[in-house]
Amino acid sequence: MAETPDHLKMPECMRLLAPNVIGSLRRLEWLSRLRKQGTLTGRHTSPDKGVSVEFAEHREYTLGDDLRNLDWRVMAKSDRNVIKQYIEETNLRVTTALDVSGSMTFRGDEAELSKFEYGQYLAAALSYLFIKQGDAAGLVTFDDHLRVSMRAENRPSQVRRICEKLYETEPGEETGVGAVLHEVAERIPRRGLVILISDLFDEPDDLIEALHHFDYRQHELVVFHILAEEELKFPFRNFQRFRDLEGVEEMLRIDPQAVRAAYLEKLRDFIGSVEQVCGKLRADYVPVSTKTPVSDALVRYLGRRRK
Amino acid sequence: MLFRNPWLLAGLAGVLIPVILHMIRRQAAKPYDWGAMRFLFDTVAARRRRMEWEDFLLMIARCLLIALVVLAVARPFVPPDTNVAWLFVLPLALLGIATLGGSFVLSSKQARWVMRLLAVVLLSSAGVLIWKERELNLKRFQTSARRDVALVIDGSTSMQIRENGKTAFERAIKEAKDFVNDAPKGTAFSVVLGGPAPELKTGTPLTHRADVLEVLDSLEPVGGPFRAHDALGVATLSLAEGRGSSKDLVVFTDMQRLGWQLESPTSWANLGNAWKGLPDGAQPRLLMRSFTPPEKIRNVSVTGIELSRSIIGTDREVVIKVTVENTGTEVVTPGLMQVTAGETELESKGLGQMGPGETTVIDYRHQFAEVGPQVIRVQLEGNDELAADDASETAVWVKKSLPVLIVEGNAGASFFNRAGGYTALALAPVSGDEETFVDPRVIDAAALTREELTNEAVIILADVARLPSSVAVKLSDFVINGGGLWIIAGPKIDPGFYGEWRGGDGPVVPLRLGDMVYPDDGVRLAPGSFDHPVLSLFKNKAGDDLAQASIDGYRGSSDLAEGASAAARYGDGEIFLALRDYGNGRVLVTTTALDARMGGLPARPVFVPLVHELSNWLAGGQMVELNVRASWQPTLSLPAGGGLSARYRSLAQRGKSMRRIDPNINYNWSLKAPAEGIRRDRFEVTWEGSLMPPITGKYRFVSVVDDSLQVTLDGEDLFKNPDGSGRSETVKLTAGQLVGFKARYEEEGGEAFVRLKWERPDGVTETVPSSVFSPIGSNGDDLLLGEAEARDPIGRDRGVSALLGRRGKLLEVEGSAIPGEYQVGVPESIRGLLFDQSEVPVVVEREGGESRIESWNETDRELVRGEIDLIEVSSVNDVLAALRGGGFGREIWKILAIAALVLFFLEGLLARWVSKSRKAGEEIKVDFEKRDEVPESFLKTMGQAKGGRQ
Repeated sequence: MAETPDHLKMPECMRLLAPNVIGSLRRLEWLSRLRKQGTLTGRHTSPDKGVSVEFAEHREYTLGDDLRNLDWRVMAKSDRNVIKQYIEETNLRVTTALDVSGSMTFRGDEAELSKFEYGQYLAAALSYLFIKQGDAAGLVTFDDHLRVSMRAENRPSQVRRICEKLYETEPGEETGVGAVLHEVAERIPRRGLVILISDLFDEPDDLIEALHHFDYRQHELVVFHILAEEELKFPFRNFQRFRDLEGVEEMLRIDPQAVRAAYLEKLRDFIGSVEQVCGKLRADYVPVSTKTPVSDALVRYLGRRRK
Repeated sequence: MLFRNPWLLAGLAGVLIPVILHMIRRQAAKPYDWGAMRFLFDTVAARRRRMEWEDFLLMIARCLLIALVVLAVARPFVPPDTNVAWLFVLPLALLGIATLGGSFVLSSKQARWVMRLLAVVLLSSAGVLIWKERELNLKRFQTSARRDVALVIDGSTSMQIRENGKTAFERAIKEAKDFVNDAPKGTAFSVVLGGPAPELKTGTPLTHRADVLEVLDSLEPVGGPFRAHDALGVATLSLAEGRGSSKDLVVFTDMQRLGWQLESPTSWANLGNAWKGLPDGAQPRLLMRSFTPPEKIRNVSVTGIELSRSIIGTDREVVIKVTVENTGTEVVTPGLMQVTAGETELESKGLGQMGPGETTVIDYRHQFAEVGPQVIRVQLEGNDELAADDASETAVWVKKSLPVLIVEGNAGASFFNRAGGYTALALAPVSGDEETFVDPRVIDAAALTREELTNEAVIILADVARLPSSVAVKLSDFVINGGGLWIIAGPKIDPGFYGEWRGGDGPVVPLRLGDMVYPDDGVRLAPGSFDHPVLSLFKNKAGDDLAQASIDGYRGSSDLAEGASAAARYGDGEIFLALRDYGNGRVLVTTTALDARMGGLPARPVFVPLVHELSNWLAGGQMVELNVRASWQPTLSLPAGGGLSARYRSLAQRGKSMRRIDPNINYNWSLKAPAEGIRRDRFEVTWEGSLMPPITGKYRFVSVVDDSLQVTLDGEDLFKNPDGSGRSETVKLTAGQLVGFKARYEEEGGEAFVRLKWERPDGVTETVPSSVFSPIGSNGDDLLLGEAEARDPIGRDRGVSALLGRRGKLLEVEGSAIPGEYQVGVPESIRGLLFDQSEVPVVVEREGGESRIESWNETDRELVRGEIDLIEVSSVNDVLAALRGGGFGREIWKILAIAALVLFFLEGLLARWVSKSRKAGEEIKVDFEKRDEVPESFLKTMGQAKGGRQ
């Protein structure tokens, strides 16, 4: 078989959109739980009351209001100037925030992908999903500061651009996820859907504060919490010299058996507290182990969301 | 603390196993890139200290476990009398090991090195201590190729206690044989059988084992106490003869206190000194293999036979009291007791049940029919564990009569004025043919010179005014030889003579007699003053009867002689009766005449028993004691007397010679031959022996001689010119210090007489009395008087020798004194001293103390350890170990093994506890992906979709 000419080859970056993932996603759609503000009428109800069929509420007329929206019937009945407001269906602005810090490069022995790679695939797949569905998708990557920030757009080429960006991204060094998330929350302009893909390794308090920031900015938040199987099970038997991927702490030579229980409890508490906060913020918390294939994880999450 | 297998201590390196495992695990840690570092750090930070502690404890436990096992396998033991307490060294070592092991798990570098330093200090000090002890021990247990070992086997009565069917003695013999078989090469053995007197069974130490085994096989228990010191002394002597350079004594004993002289530190010190003086500087050790008697023992023993009278005749019954004591710890019901007196078997009597410590006395009455030495034997069916002390015996000499010679000083006077008459009457109150025990004979004072005094037991001088000096010497010698002398000091006596009367044992009369005193109303005896046992009969009612008698006059007295005592006094405090022991005999003085002149005393009914008691007491001195204490050899002491060993020789060619004992040098042969077979003229006599001066001072010797007498004292000639009579220079002599004496008399012809006199420092001039002479030389060699044979209690024949030596005349049975009855033959030459008996029974007393089991206590051990190197061993193997130089002692591996076991469980518990605290075993699940929330239908649809695509 002849070599495929370069210009006909699929760009390397598009490998992030694996065919089987796309296959799975083809039948799926994302339903925003929050009402989204957007310029296009789409599948999502927008908090902007606009031209629509579905009535939302009345409000007192103030100067400058479009008279088209005046409810004449109410005026006739009660001699009050009331503006009729409609629920506007809007398109969704989705920003995928991918953590590219050092800790995300952990792969472990069981999974094929490191958390970072997994995040890449996931981000690509989600972007594809949203663009396909007509929503705008953007990308933010960060380690200890923002690395890449792409505004959300709904052009079909956006998928490719996102993929390219993702592909180019090299994992960084350290994170204080908490601190940088504040920046992310501020940077994403309008309220929209923020999909945070991270292992969330930070002080729970900082993290929780940061997540609150998203809520404050009225973003709908979906947290893909990505952890490797090793991190969840701590299956080590022999002494290990644990080297910090984020390069903050020095090496740690310990007997894993001795700390396993304490570590796992700590992790459990951490996961629990994150989940709790997410619940409080009405954010979706999606725990994903890197062992689970990306498509499965997505299918499962979206399936759950459809309920 | 030393080790039997010290090379196994190399296994202590095994302590490093857990350390190395730990290190390997640590070192093998692969670097692992890890994301969730924050959690790990948090965890570790919170738990680091605790984890370190847990690891530390676990590591210590594991190291100690291995160390304990290794130590236990190395078989540590505590040598006896160690000076390094193992309870100090062992913890020191273990602590060192623990710190060493523990140091490896510490994370702080500084702490690690401090711990290691500490461990090095602890371990090396423990090592140094052990090494030092080993050095000491090596010194103590140093070996040399040739060694002499004296095996001393306790043959005492208590070794015959049966336990599990075997006596301790049998076990001792067996162990001794095992020991001989297993002893290292080059060991020479001497065997001493210990008893009341030790018996050296081998001469110089034997190297040929078969011989030693044979000797051991032939040993029989001796009985009686184990006089350990004597046995050790004998053993030491035999060791001194051995050629080995190290010397040891192994004593197989039950360690009964009796006989070890544990009250006398000096005797142990002496033993220690004797050992220090052994050749080649060998320092013997005393290895004691003890066969401790059982705690509970059933034992009754016959502890004594007593007779109601000291002088036994055939005239009347005597009461035999047999004492039986339960000396064990259990209640015992003994069987029948059989008693034989001479040939007569007395009625058997039964005893009731006896509790521990209980004593029963059983009386038998018996009238002896036969005269002569006889044995009373008691045999009890003991039904107990120690049979050896269920029998006892005592020998008695049944006298036909007690010959008493009464020397009457007033022969011419009427009966009422004759003290001798009254005493004679009192001694033989029945007239006619009837047989009486006491056989008095009255003679006139003047007739005394002609008396031989060989058969008499007691001589009574009844108011005899004075005696010729030759008779006085004869009488004092009679007393020294064991006779009894009763001086009745009536009004006729000459106090001056009695005051001056001296014999070989000092003044004969126990007090200085004065003038007669005639109190106006007379005087009475004071029974309250009857202090002497001889008057014990008269302390009560009988004494009152004596006190009834009024005594009209008595002799005043003063100055009781040394050794004399006043046995009774008058009401006014003056002495009535004084007595003393004199030589082998006894002297008694009554200060009033026992006749009608001096009052009513002879008329009292108690006068008869009084005279009997006094003469019995006087006769007691002459009795040959047939019951002898168990000592070196069974030995009878016979009435000795002094004298010189004389050799008569004709000076002609082929002239005959003869030897005999002469009492002193005082002969007048005139023209006759001095002895049968010696010529009348031209003969010589040499007297040899020693002289014991009675008082210190200057003596002058006087010879009255025809033809010549030369006397040498300690080799110095006394007379410048030996021919004819002469006086010597004064010689200074010290009382009690023996001087070698030799005199040579030569007769040329004509009259032959010789007499040696001395002027004593106190002015007395007398023929040198027999009592100051001793026929043995001042060098102390015994003179053999004759030989015979004897049969000992276990039926063996033994030699008997009659000896004259510094200890007097003795009849000695060869070999050690085994308690029991001996039939001892009497050599011809001394039969006269034993009433012409050709054989006498001699009883070596059993000592009751042996039945009361009392073992050594800690104080005893300390005392002995202070003087000699005492090592107590508990088995033959220990003895062998001690000999081989390996040392031995109380093994403590069991303690270590138990400690290891405990630690093993402890380690398990600790590990469990640690793993529990770390929740290592728990399956902690982190619920992460909640799979169940996705509806099945959805997943199904998805699955179909995928399937469709494929």
